[in-house]
Amino acid sequence: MHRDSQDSATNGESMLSLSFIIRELGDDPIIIQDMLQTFREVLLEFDSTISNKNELEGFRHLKIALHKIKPSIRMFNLSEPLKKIDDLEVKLNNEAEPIYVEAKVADLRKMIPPIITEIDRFALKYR
Amino acid sequence: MKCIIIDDDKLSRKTLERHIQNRPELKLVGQYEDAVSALPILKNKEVDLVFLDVVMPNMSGIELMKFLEDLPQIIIISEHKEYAVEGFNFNVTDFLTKPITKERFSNAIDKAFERRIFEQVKEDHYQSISVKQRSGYINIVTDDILYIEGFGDYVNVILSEGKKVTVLSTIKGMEEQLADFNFKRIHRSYIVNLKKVNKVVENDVFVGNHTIPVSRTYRTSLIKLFKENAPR
Repeated sequence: MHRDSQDSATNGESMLSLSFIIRELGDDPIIIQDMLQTFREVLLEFDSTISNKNELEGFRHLKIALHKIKPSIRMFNLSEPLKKIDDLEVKLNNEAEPIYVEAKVADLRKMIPPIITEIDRFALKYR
Repeated sequence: MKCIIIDDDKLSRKTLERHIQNRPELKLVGQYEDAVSALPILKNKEVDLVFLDVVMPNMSGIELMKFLEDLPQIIIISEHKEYAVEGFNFNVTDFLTKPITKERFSNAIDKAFERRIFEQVKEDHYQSISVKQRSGYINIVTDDILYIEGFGDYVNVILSEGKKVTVLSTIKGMEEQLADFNFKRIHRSYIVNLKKVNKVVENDVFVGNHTIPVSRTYRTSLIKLFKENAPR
């Protein structure tokens, strides 16, 4: 069942890794598929949440959304998006200018479509 | 051990569900996206263990613990370790950082079972007394005692289901030993378990199928305690 001991990038562009899931939850393709599809849903919900009205209530919703997505990002070992989220959280805690925060959010959102593509690629592999 | 998950993070719930499946002694009886939805099952005390997220909409995990008077065992699951400190104020069993590894999960479950055994032993210990017989000491669960009858330097402890244990003690000694339990001296030769008293009629107390005399000295105080102990 286990297709690749690393099961992460085979080229420099790939970001996503299944090593945590395979190590901690096993290599059953049904479970891997389920986790990938759930992560896909979670990412799309996250993208929708952070795409608007962030400024309301002192970025409260944005702060919560960032807080909630981090374990999932870490689960798939997405180090670059994780860095951006950490950086944005620091800026929010230091009450950065809204225009600066929105630019950082836009930057983060740009990373989501390539991750979705990676998820779909892995989902095909484990189908 | 019946458990539930309260967490609005879908991947976290799926991870926990998988870990739980790998521990056959655990039975997952519910998953909830928010704390409010879990209140009915928690109020009905149908759960032994809760995997509880802290940051959730409407009611946080900490608010839920403050709200409930009688908590089952709680394992906090969260992104931030700082919630662990607050959680331990509620005597939680353990704290797991997301994403949850099988090793940390397994350790937390071992702790939950150890704690359950400890609580059970503690409960049994506090609800029993150790008494001396000719052959040595034995433990008697206080809930099993109907009444005690004194005969000078020894007493007969009358138990449910018609059993009787002879103990080397005086009625005064037994009265002192049972002071922290729901027992009452009603006669120079008798002590009764107030939980087992069916009725008091004139100078008699009815305990199971037994009728025991109550002396005038103790009658008034016995009736007062009997009323206080009546089921509400």
